Amino acid sequence: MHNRLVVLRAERALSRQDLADALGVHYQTVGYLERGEYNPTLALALRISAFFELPVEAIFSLQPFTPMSAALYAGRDEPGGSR
Amino acid sequence: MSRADHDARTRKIADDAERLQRDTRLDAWRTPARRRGLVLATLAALAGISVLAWLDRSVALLVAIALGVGLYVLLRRVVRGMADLPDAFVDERVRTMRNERYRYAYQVLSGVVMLLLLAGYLATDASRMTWQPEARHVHAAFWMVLGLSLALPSMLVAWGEREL
Repeated sequence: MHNRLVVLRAERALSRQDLADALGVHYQTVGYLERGEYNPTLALALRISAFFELPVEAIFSLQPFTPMSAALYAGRDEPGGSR
Repeated sequence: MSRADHDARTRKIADDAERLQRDTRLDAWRTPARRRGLVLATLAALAGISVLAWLDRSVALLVAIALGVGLYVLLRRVVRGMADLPDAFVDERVRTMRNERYRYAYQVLSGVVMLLLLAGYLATDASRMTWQPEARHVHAAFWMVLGLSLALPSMLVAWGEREL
């Protein structure tokens, strides 16, 4: 399973310990989740979803996520140009 | 036990669990190489205890048991009590991981016990073998099984986990 936890945590300037405390898990569990080495139960996935105030499918996916750069710049003719 | 005593005991376990999970004083022991070294040292201590019990060396046996207990306590703290803490005090990943380690530990321990029982059965069957086990031999088997049953889950966690 793929996830966007690294990006979401970085956007909010949270440490692994901050996120772990908010979710009630060990801080290394956050690392295992971010690396995709552990797939959360539905209960933990829903807690993560509630914490980031995003739908669960925005955070977890069975398919790889589109890279953020590709999503942001899709359709632009040249780097730095407008749509 | 009264309700207040029960609550106080639960709080103490929760505090101990929290301290173990956040402990950083033993981080030097938590590198993979040192963890594996500690596992091998614990195994060597268990083997030493059994050999000394077999040879009936009482004083040396007591020293080896003290060493084994010390290594077990250190090993348990290095793995942050992940193999022993009640389910309520560890998160779902740790519960999943340790269930797997317990499965391996059960297989290894049941294999060791089966081998010891088989050896005991063959040895006590006078028609097949003249050697008869004595109390010291039973002691050696007892210490081996006791040591493995206590330490094996923590040993497997220490050996196999990427981070602790």
